[in-house]
Amino acid sequence: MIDLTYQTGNSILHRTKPVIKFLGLIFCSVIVLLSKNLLCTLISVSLITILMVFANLSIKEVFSPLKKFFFFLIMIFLMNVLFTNSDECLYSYYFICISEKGIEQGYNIVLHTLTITVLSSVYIRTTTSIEIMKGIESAMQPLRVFNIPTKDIALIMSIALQFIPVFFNDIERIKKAQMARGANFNRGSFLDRIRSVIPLVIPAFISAFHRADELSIAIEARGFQSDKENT
Amino acid sequence: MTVIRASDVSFQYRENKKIIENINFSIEPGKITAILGKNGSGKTTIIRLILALLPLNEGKIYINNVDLQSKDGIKYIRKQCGIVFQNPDNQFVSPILEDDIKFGLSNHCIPESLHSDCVKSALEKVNLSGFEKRKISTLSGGQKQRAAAAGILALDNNILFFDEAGSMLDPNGKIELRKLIEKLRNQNKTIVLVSQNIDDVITADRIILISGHKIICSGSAREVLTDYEKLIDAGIQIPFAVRVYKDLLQKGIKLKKCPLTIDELAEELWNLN
Amino acid sequence: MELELRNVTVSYSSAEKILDNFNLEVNKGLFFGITGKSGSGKTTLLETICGFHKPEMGQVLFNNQNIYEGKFDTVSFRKKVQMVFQFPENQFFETDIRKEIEFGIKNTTLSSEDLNRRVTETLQTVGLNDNETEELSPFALSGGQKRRLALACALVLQPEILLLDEPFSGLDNSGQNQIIKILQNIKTKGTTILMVSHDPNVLCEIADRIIVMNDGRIIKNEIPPIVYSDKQFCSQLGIGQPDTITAANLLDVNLNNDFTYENFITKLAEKLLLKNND
Repeated sequence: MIDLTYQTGNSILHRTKPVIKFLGLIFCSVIVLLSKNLLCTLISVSLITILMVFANLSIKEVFSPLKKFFFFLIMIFLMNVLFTNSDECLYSYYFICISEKGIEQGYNIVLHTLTITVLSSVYIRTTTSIEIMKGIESAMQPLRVFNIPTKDIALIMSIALQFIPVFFNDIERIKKAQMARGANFNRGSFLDRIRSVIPLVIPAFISAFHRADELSIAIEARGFQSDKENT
Repeated sequence: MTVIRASDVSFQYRENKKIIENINFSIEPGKITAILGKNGSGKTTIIRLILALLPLNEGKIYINNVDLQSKDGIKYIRKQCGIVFQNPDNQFVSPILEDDIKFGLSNHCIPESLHSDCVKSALEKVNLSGFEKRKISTLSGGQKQRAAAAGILALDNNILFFDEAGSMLDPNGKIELRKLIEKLRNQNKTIVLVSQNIDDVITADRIILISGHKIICSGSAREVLTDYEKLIDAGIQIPFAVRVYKDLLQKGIKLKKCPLTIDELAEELWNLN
Repeated sequence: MELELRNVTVSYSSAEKILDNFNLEVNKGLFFGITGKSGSGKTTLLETICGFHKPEMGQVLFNNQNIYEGKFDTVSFRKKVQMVFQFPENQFFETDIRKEIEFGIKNTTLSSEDLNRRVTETLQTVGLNDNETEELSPFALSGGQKRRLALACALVLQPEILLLDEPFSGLDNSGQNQIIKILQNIKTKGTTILMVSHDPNVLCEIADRIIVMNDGRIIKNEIPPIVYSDKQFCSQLGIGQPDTITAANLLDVNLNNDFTYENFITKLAEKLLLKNND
């Protein structure tokens, strides 16, 4: 879906310290979420432009991995525009009510979602998996006071990120195998389609758990010391 | 002088389902020892017990005379031993090769300033020089296993385990891996190979044959791989030359000694005159 | 001719061609072994035959119909052409062996009696029909049993063409022998089989023809003796050489184009006994 892989490069962002990038991402995301309408639009456009410059990425490079995501955003926008309840409908038909409130809501949700997705996508593309892990770990240092296993969490998050494309590949493979033996994912009633997903989801989860099992043994064999072991 | 010694080791997951029973063996330094057995024979379990990846409840294991169950036993093993697993895809922590090797270095508290040099020298040892920034997902199966080996070589482990490391590779990948293992033996590393494939173990110095949860035979590669009956008992494929030797015997043609490879078979047949 | 690929070119992204102007004619009832280095396009070939990769150029014809044309009946095609992927046990999701097999024939017009009979017959074909094993869940089976179950899932549809992607991966010696026996059985019943494998010994024993692939192209499409006779060719293309051929060449034994082990031993013994009598 989204291009969640590291791209080698030497931009300013590539060279920025991981912990600064991580905290910056959190900070910018919060600012975006707390603002609305025109202010939010200005902030979002500025942030994305600055990032594009710092990461040496063109508009095409930033947005084209998100192509498949746009459909999802359009759906969200339409859902909000058509179905938000309001006293002042500009146009109404049965349960459909197009109102200023709805349009505003839809716009803001899409803007927030799109901006944060772009910020995260640029972050992931300019930060290696190990750097992400170190960044999260450094940023969470203060939490160690509460005995939270920050090192383990950081490792888990960075591994999860890198295995997302692997997981999608597995699903593709399983889908082909099931289709080859007669599964049909596009047919039948709504209930049928939900049920038809089972031969896809169960093997995919089993495969994911299997990977997790093997990987955890490999990590342990390489001397990783969980926070709980450090006495 | 043995590097690894196992004494009366048994293991079971559940009541009445023993995976291995009363296993005794020792592994010598600087040599390739192969543990040969079919799927489910318990060979992977033995390795996991040695590496403290499974809890040892019955029996004792010593690495360089250090008891596995002693206070710092596990730390010691992690420093001495490294393992390359069967599935090339499920043993890397980072998508970029040098980062993955650095992960191991960090775990072993090697100072960051030395990381680049360690990575470079490890990659040289496995013929992957210049691959530092490569994405692991773009490597072939054979290259991935060599990359995993680089990860453990960077830690200067002296005892290297290969747990069916060639089984998911294509023939060229298998050959690459075997060459690497030979090279490491020549550098005096102690190597333990787990496999069900005789081609992987034919150059081993010693083979331990496992069947029915027990060790049924151990000795030099020649001794074990020409023991026709024991191999069948263990469900292992007979080497081609040995099969020919036995089948010729049934037809009344006896060779002076049982050959291990096709070249030796040719020699024996030539000497028949 | 049952299946034909005409000038087929398949690529994933714009740059790399996975299959390059590929031409192949498959006659009914033959057993084709497909071999070649990793990345030569073998898996993609099988998937293309099965309908998963529409070629940029060329056609895949089944009984003279292009399977990628809009009007083609893919649903009934998938019943006639079954593919068993590598490590097929990754696709299990039922807790009952019979239900797992039934998944493939659920959407057919068979009566429930016929369905049951078909499943039982298939279990017999793959040797999983003893009472004890039938009670188990697919996940509780041994590696070899899982592989045979996956094969059963494909065979239950009684396909005309069976595609197999490295069916021996990860199996031990006895597991491998069991699969070979099943395939030989299916072959005698007239099913066309295309099997990708790296093992030259097995291919030599059971395949009628060998297709050697490299960089998405066919390098050779011949009977096993012709493909495997030249050691250098085998080494260059990473396909290995069967032990019988290596030994026969070294020992100067004439196998008359029959490279099975049985024949090798017979001819070798004959030669040695003849020598003794001189």
